[in-house]
Amino acid sequence: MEKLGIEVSLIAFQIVNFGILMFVLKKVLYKPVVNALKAREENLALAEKRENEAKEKLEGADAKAKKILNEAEQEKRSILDNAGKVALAKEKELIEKAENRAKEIVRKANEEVQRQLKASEKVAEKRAVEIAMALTKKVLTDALNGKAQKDLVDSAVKKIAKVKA
Amino acid sequence: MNKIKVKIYSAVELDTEQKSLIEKKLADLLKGKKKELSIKFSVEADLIGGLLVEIDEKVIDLSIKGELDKLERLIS
Repeated sequence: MEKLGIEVSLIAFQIVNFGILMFVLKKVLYKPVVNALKAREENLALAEKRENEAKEKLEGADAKAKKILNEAEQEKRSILDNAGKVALAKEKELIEKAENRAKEIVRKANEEVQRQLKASEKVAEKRAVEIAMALTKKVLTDALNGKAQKDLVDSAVKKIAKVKA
Repeated sequence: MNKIKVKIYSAVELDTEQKSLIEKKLADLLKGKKKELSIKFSVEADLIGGLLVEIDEKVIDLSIKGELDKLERLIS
């Protein structure tokens, strides 16, 4: 070995040095690095877990939002349907009221027309009677001569006797 | 003795004979009253014909106008 230039003691020393280095490294560097790697791994796992939880929460929230939206949509349709029905009923009621009101107005108008017609007929009838009477009086006044007047007086005198005193 | 006031309205002037006859008829009519008659004759052309007799408050309408008025009330 010595002929080959290799010193056993040096090699042994080197081995011991290497062992010491390995020991020191193991004690000083390996553990912290391993611990750091473990911590990082744990952090990653925790982050992944939280990410998954967040995803699940997000999906849950999304589903909940969809559910709420669906319910809101159904409620909206229900409200619109009800509003439509109420509006139709109200429209029908208003139309019915308007028709009844119109019928009442027409009925009253007809009654008023009939009343005015009767009043007009009455006035015309009265006026016709007045004219007829005036004409009759005029004709009789002109037609009754002396003899007729005497006969009328004689007739009246006979009637006086029959009157109850 | 109180008087019974009688007013006689005619469409034309009555002659004496007619007035006497009327006085006689009225005397017969009111003889039960035993009162004196005061008769006044007047001309009322609106009567058209016949007589209208007022005895105190009582009115006896025997005129053509009276008949026409009755007819008018009947048909009005």
